[in-house]
This record gives sequence, structure tokens and C-alpha cells, in this order.
Amino acid sequence: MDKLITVEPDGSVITLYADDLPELGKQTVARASAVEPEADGNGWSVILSQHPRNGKYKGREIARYVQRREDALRQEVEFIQRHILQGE
Amino acid sequence: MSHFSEIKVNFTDAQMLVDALVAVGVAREKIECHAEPQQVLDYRGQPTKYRMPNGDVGHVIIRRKHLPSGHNDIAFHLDREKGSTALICDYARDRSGYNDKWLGKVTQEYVAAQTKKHYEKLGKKVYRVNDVVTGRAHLFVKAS
Repeated sequence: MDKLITVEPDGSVITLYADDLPELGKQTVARASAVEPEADGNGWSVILSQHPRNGKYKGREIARYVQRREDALRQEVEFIQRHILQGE
Repeated sequence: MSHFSEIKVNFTDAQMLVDALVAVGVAREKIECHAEPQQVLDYRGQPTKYRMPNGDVGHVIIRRKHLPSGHNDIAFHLDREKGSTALICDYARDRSGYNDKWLGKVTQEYVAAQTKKHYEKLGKKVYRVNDVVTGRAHLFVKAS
């Protein structure tokens, strides 16, 4: 999956944290989401944090009962990049 | 688990800043680029002291002779530790559009170039998509 770095019209940058990001300036890092096991042990759920960047999706579960954790992690990043960083 | 990384951009590469200014329409020959910061002048040709107690200085400067009448020099002071400073007088901001919106476009160009350079060194390609509705620039780093 392609990594997305968004530059707002005011020049500020928002992306998902990665160790290989370029040094662009002062960085603030905050939780965007979590992947947690379902209570009944049947797969994984993806939950967005209360971070203001998550907007109307704040605190929402965006995927449930994903069987493979790896798939849940991929869905997490895809959703944030598409719906939060690109705002589609 | 993912984390947002929000970055307040700090101009540190003078040549890349010059390229960004050119990308938003400033003629390259109108831009000075100095290793050591130079004095900024007001519309009368007098040294300014608005932001720095010993006189405003900049590494990248568009001199007032290249700007409409009544403008001070537009300058950028680069400081890796304290952060970069854009020195733009209110007159230029209000009358000629050298405002925060313009500065945002300059910053977008700078970030795009810096990001491309960074990832190309790592052997990765970057492509850009501009969202004309939101004004955002999206930089995609190709998965290898």
C-alpha cells in the first residue's frame, strides 16, 4: 500500500507515523486508531481514536470481526488514508 | 495501531526554498540565496527591525525592487533549531497576495520537493495529487 503524506493549504503536514518520514519540522505524534481483539476472541476490530483529526469518525469502529490481524491493520491504514487524510 | 504525525514545516534548505518560490511563480533571477543571512530593507531602503532585535536578516530574499511600489523585501530566515521565519510586511500581505495562503503554497512545494528527494534516496518513488477542492497536496510514496 502506498504511504500518504498530506500537505494542508496552510503548509502543515499530516500523515501516519513511520520511522522513515523525512525531517520536515517539528513533529507531534498522537494515537489515531487501535486494532483490538474482539471480546469473544473471534477476530479483530479497528477503532478510531477521539483525535480531532478523525472528525465525524471519532471513536467509531470501522471494521469488526476481521479474521486476520494483518488484514485489520491494512484496513486501518487504508481507511485513515482515504477518509481522514484525503477526506473522501 | 496507528498514530497521526502532524508536522509544522521548518524551512532548512535554502536552495529547495528557492525552487519552491519558483514553482509558485517567482522568477528565479529575482530571488537571492545567501549562505549567511543578509539585511532586510524596507520600502525606503532602510534596514528593518521588526522581528529581530539586531535587524531583520534573511537567507532567501526577494528584494523590494522586484515587488510593487511600497513593499519591503520579502525574506526567509532559516534556523534549524529555532524554526524558520518568513518576513513579509503587512502591505505585501494585504495588497499583493503574499499572505498566509501564498505561504502555504510555497510550503506545499517545499514539502513535495523535500519528500521526493528523501524517498528517492531510499529508492522509492513519490507521486503527487492536488485536490483542487480542498487545496490539499497529497504525496503518495509508492510501496516497493
